[in-house]
Order: sequence, then C-alpha cells, then structure tokens
Amino acid sequence: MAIELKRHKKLIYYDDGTIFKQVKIKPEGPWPPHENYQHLNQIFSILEQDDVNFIPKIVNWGDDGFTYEYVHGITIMDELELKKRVYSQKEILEIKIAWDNIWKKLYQMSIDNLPDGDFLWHDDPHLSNMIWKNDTKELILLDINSFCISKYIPICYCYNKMFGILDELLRKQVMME
Amino acid sequence: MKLKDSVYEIDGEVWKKHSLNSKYKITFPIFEKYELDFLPKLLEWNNEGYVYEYIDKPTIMQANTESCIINQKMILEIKMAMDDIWKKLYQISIENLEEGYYLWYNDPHLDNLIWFDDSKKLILLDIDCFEIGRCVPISFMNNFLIQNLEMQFTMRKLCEPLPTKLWQ
Repeated sequence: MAIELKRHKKLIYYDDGTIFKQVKIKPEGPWPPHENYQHLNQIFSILEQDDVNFIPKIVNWGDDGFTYEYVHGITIMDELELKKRVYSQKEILEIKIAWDNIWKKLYQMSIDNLPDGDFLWHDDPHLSNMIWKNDTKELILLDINSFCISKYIPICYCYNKMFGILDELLRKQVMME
Repeated sequence: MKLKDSVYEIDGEVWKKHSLNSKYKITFPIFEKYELDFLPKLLEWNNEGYVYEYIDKPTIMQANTESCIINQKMILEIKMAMDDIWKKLYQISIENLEEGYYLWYNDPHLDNLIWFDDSKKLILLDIDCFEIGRCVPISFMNNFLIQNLEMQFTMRKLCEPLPTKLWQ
C-alpha cells in the first residue's frame, strides 16, 4: 500500500519502509531544470560507491525520482518546535563534529570522483532535513536531492542555516538564567 | 623587530603582551600538557606576556595580499584543518574543564593564521586568544574565519574585470 501525505506532496510512503520522492532527474521541455537535478544521476552514483552512513539508503532512482529507506527518528527542527527542546552546548558541538566529518567525506569524494575544481556538497542543511542520533553520534541528512556539484560553495551560508538557530536558542536560554 | 602592536620578534622568538581578559592562566598550563601541532611552540610566559618560537612564513592575510592565493579548494582545506582543531579543543575541554565548559579559539582573523599548503597544517598565532565558556558562538566564529576567506576569494572574482566604460 502506498500513502501520500498532503504535507509532503512529493513523497509517497510504502509498506516496506521505503519512501519515493518525486524529482525530475532528467531535464524536460525547453526550460532548464533546477541546477541540482542535472547532477543527481552522477551524485547518486558517487554516493552509491562509498558506503556512506550520513544519508538514508538509496534503493533505486529513475527519471521521475528516487526511492530511499525510511529513517526512524524525528528531525532536529521537530525536536525544537514540537518538543521545545534546547540542545545543550555539548550536543551542538557533537553535531558540529559529525557535520564537519560529513564535509570532510564529501571533499574526499569530490577529489576522488570529480574533475579538478568541482566539489560535492549539501545545498540545504536546514534543521528539518536532518536527524541527530545522540546515542551513536550520527547525523543523517534526509534531503538527498539537495546534494549538488559546483565550483563555488557558500560554506558560511550553509553553516548559518544550521548552527544559527541552535546557537541562538542556547544563548537565549543561558542569558535568561 | 616590531611585528605589530605589543608583538616583537627577537632572535627567532616572538614576545607578545597578553590580550585584555586573556584566560592564559588557565589555558597555558593545559596546552603544556599536550603536543599541539596547531600552535607555535610556547617557550616561556609570565603575567605580562609570553614568548613563542617565530614561524618564518606570512600569515594568510599577508600571503593573499601579496599574490591572491585563496581559492575554493584552499578554503575547504583550511576549514577542514580548523574543524580538526575544534575537535581537539572539544576533547581537551572534556578532559580538563568542569562539565559544561568549553574551550575555543576566539580570534581566527586571517592575520592570526598561517597556512602550510603542502602539509595542510593551520597554525594559530594568538595563543592567548582562547576563550572558555558555557556558550560557544559557533556560527559567529565560523563567519569570522570562513566569510573572510570567502570574501577574499569571491570579491576578486566578482570585481574583475571592470568594464572600461566605468572609468573611461
């Protein structure tokens, strides 16, 4: 049985624990697709070669989208919004270390697989796109189609998107004490 | 020879006056317990300042001003080297500080950093600029370092070449 939620129109949930996400991997019509999608075939091939543990397992992909295994857990943003949780400084530093390790891995994959000067990176490190597993200190990036390849990487922008909120919520809590 | 305000180089050694509110009385004894390859060798210190081995290489800012060395690959590599330093400082904090307190480098200005491109080593020069606290400004420190590198790199690309009609 397949379930389609109104909240996530592009996602279809299957009984076997997999999720299909609709994206146009091949360009269609006269309009260029989102620049990230042009690279998805190449990116999925690279991610498949290395047994990376920071994304859900990709089951398959085609021209209309891709299927990946469901990851148990709730996103960091849902922890903040629904549970009103404030991450401790220790947890934020541990998330940073896990995130930095992912950057290092992506850099190495770029050097091993891409032409000189091209880099693989995650374009949307929003907290609603990631799950933190505190017991194993693993960070899982959910939005797999947000990986992209380019010559320029907005590192600051990516970091602020992720740590700006975590930093500020903790600082606010400490200031109010 | 005066390198900058309150910083002097004498016979291969640098003497520097402590920064205001420096935590050197806590951090220096901790650093002496470790072999930290991201700091110059600390030779001596007292209540006025400290002496470290001079490193005969320009800072990132000096090197870039001379010959525009910064590119995207280098930014990523400097970032990874700094990330390794963060990781080490986290470990040092767990081993040496009261629970809930963390050590971080508070002044990653490009004039305080030396980059060895061959060995991918980053050296932090202002040894007395480490900070200890319960709240670590990760975003701010990251912007301080990376945004500066990104600006040096992108502005060079964005501003060149200027159309001649702009100034003719």
